[in-house]
Amino acid sequence: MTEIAHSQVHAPKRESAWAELIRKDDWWAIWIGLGLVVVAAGLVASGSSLKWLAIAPQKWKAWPEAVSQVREHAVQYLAVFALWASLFGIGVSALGYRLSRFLPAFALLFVGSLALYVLGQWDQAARYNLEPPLVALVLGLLIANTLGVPRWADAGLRVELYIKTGIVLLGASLPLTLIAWAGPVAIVQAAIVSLVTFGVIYFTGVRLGLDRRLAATLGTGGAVCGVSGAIATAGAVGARKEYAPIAISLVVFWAILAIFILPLLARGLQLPTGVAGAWIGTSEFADAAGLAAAQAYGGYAGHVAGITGTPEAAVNAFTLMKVIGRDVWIGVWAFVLSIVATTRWQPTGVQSRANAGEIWNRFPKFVLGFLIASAIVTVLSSGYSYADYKKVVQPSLVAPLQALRVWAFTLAFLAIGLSTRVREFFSVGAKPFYAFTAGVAVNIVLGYLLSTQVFVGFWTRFGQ
Amino acid sequence: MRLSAVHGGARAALLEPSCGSCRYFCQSPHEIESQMPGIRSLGSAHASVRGSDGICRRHERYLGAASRCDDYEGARESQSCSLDTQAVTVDHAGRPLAARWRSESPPQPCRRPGYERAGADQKSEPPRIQP
Repeated sequence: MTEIAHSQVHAPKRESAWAELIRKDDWWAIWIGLGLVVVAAGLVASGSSLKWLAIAPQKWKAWPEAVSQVREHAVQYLAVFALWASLFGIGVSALGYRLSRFLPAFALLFVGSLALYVLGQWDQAARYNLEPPLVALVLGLLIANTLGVPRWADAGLRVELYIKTGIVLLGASLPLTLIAWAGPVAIVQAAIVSLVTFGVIYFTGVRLGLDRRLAATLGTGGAVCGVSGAIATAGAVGARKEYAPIAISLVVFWAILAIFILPLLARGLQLPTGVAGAWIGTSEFADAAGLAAAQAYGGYAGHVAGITGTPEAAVNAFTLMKVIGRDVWIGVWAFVLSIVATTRWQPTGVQSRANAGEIWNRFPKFVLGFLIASAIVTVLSSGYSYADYKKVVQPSLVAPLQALRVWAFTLAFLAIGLSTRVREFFSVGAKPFYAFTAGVAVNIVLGYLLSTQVFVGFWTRFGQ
Repeated sequence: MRLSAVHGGARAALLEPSCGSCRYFCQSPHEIESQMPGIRSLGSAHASVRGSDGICRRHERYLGAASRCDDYEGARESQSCSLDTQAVTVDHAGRPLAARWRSESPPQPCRRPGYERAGADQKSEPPRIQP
């Protein structure tokens, strides 16, 4: 019996750990985002800047003014298109997509994003609620669910790659000291909401008779990090194949609704941008959706009476709350739930293995890029006085990276709408819907109370 | 080939086969995205959080690659949905993998009446499928 024929030897084909560096979109977000930060920093150090390339539309009052602005800077817009097309093109090729499919889809996405970026600079945009993230989403949803989007275009609609790259770039405008100061509060607030929301969804689901593995998949989808939380938990607990899609559909449904509801509620309550950003970060279900809501709300600052704080504060507070407070813990959630599943729940015929190494394996690596980008700019800025920082570092280093970040986010917001099929929302079944919705209700109310009552002073100061 | 002559790592794999090397296990992010509608809207099968999870076509479960069961069947590289995102495409009969899924094991609709506790958890014995 010790004789084993060659044909029977099926040693697993394992990729090296290094292969992950080119096989995961988290790492591509790091390479692209940090690459831009390093190049921008190098240019500033040599007395130059990325400003020319990081073109962004300026405020305009009349339509002909906007058109002439685009014409005047047409070469720069072509250059920024070439930059993104080449960087993202390399990334999606490494992920296994054909460049010949990516490029035409990306070109159309870029043109749509340019139109939305320009629209957002209209001086009446806030008055008519024409915030680019919201318009991008509505436009994308309309196109995808009426005209339809061909399958080949999938290669260009990589929401996660674009949003993660934007978050890495966002690190360049957030000093590491600010992250260290606000991070612990974000972690405490997010932990309270995550635990309560998970408990509500899980126990409601179990009470309704759902399989515990489905209840847990729904719970982390609603409480921790949306689609990522759902797929991480489904794999960790060995869920049935259809559980993750059920949770994903519910996450996407509520996340898209929340993109409109949360800014609208916050606007009605006239919350400062930092406070609203913290609330959105606590109560939204996905990074891309939350950034759309936070950026839309930040756009109200200075344009809508009663809303104080800086536009950046909403996005910054959201990112700290969602990324630092919630996303980074997904590996821990998956590990703990895998232990519970293997030791407490009924067996499935497959032995899942709880392994602490999964905490790192499932860690959202793009967060490292966000922190490194912040560290790079913080170190570079440390040699400047505040006045010199405003005069030199801000316009030549931070502002161009902010403009590139807005490009990445706008691409992502339009891609969300274009890749969402509304009909998929209606196939989840009533019980999962009730369980998840119970968590949504608690999540939004608790997030509101923590952001506007318990930690209101902190988030108000954060936004100033 | 004698078992004792097998390289240490491979021997361990032979003695403790796990889902990652099973013919029924699919880790391709492209296949996972096609099997899980909606994942691309606000997520990705290429994300780090997915780790090395994949779909077991025998048990109809979404599992970690280190999981194991009694129905393990080793895969030749060219026959399985392998770790290489661009490689995998045919099954043991040489048919395109996606086509085989369509013809023999179609993706289940989300509204499958199997998510309730009583039915789902009692299925400790998976259905036997003749490869």
